[in-house]
Amino acid sequence: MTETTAITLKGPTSRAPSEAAGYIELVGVSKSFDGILAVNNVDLTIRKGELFALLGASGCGKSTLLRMLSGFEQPTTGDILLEGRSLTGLPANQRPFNMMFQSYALFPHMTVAQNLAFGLKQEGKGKREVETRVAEMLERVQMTAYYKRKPHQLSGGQQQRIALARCLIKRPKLLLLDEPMGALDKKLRTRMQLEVANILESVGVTCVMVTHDQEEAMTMANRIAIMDGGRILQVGTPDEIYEQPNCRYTAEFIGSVNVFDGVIVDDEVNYVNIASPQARNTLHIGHGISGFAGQPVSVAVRPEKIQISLERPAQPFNCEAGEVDDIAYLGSHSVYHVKLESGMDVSVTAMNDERWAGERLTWHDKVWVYWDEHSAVVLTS
Amino acid sequence: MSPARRKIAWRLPGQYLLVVIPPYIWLLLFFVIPFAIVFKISLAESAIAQPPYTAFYEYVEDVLTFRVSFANYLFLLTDSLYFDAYVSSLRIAAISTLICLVVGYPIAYGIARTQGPLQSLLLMLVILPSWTSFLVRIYAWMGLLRNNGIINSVLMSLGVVDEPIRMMNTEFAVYIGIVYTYLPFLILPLYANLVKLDNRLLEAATDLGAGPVSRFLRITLPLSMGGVIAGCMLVFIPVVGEFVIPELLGGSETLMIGKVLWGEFFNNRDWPVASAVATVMLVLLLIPITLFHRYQFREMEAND
Ligand SMILES: Nc1ncnc2c1ncn2[C@@H]1O[C@H](COP(=O)(O)OP(=O)(O)OP(=O)(O)O)[C@@H](O)[C@H]1O
Ligand SMILES: [Mg+2]
Repeated sequence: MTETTAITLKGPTSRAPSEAAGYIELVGVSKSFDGILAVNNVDLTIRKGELFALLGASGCGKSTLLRMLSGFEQPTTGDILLEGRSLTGLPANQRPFNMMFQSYALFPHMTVAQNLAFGLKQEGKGKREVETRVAEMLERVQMTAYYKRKPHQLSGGQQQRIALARCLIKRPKLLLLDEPMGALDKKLRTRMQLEVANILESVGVTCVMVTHDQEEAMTMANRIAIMDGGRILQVGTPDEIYEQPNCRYTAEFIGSVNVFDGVIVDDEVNYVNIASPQARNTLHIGHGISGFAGQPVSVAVRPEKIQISLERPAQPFNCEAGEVDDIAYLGSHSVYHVKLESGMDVSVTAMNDERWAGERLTWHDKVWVYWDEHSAVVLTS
Repeated sequence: MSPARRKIAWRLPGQYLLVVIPPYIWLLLFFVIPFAIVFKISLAESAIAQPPYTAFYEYVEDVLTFRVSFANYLFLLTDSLYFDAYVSSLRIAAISTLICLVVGYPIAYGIARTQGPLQSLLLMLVILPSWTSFLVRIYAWMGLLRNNGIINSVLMSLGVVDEPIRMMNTEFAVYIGIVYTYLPFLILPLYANLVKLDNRLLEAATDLGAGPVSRFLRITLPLSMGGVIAGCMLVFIPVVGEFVIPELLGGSETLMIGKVLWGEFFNNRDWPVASAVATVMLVLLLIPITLFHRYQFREMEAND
């Protein structure tokens, strides 16, 4: 992501991210393995007390970034700062950061209580303090009854809580979670996402988690960074990332989206018009962007922002005629796949709130799809 | 129970037995029967006959008479030679096992931590010596350790010592021979255990603040206990009854039960006493073997 491709929205929804004092800062961090860049010039600021998610496809460098924070890997270039002090050269066992491994890595020969006590004993804490803190932490994760068990006698969800407790008991300045839900099945995952998020909130720990599951990132995190090919493409709150993606990759990675490719024809202060071969009518955006006439851009519209109807809407722009090609009925709503006259496929989500199913659109209906001037986002990259 | 279930329940034991029976036949043929024969001989008395002991039972004039005598076991108690030999064997076995462990653990650890083709090469180097005859290797040690052997010649020609150091026919030589011979038996099971050690556990320990020493003592060592015990047993048990090494390298100075057994059997031709010596040795070894199995069983349960 370079300066020229960033888009400043001037609409009512735009919100400049408040640059609160950086707690942990990554400055130009890169990591190469055998000459191949796994993490490429990352600048990132983590705020105190937030739950920050690194989201990206497999192999994009999320784990590598996390391992550099934990101290298991050293950046090839760049620096990591904690409250303004560089952590370079500080080995993993001396960093005030703790990491929960995807496989949990609980010590199989120790009981739950011994697993929790391990980190405190390394700090040279007294027996009394260790005991009270272990009891306290077991209470917090509701595992008191299991303190004598060995890890293999626990369920997946219980193991995860113990792994989390083993990190939290050290009162880390930063908690690192690598794919925290990766080892759980789908049903348990949803429950543990909320449970873990609640525990983290009650402790108030600063946390960076890695995931390739966008739903997980959206549910748990305060802010999300989208990564691709070792770079950070966008950083923002879940709704900023969803509503105002700054590039095509982000728009397509989070949720589903319809993308029209075109060029800017009118670039005014309070609106932009874009012509696209995929659309018969003008694509109209109701606010200005930092672009120029003739610039190639993409227009992204989420399926739930598009209306579908048998009658032609009054507006002259952002409306296209087509035919219902396919319908995915999902109970509360349906996804209609509409083939436009240009040949482009557009997906539209509509609530199934009519009383009679007979009132709904059906296959091969000639329909109009349309959206208002604030529903689409212009992407310049 | 449904008919289908009953059918399976009825058929399962047959297939199950097919798997379970061969090891039991093996044990019966090569352990239980030979041991029963040795035990039987140990209950007889020495006699000038062929074989040289009294018969276990006689059938004379319609009367079946069993002759059972525990005299041989009592005899082992009266002569301190046997007691001393047992103690000495256990001591030598324990000390050599310890030396093997101290030498072998770092080697096994090193090999387990090595990556790629070098690892196979190192493993080969551990196994390679056992491809030549055991006796040849012991004779080679004799050539090295003799008063006019290679080590002493080199030391004297370098002027380090004026007269040869006596190494042959000492316990030192016995330890050299035992450790040299049995080291692979400790390294291999320990390696097999250490190579399975999950590196993420060590990373987790590091993350929780553990340095290298703490990581070794609190993670690697306890987790490799299964391999340590298996390796130690594989050294300790055969060394207790070792005969060739103390005979060839230890001379008359080393007292070991294997040598005593050999003496009773071939020099005194007292088969019953020799059998009693063997039986007692087996019973003594049964203790560590049982402990080992209990531990293994617990491990297996824990890893389930
Ligand atoms: N120790 C290593 N040696 C060499 N290359 C590595 C190493 N660790 C990671 N890489 C490479 O760096 C890139 C990023 O890897 P990383 O593990 O950070 O990806 P990820 O985003 O965590 O993926 P996933 O979601 O699959 O875990 C990959 O191409 C990977 O092959
Ligand atoms: Mg990863």
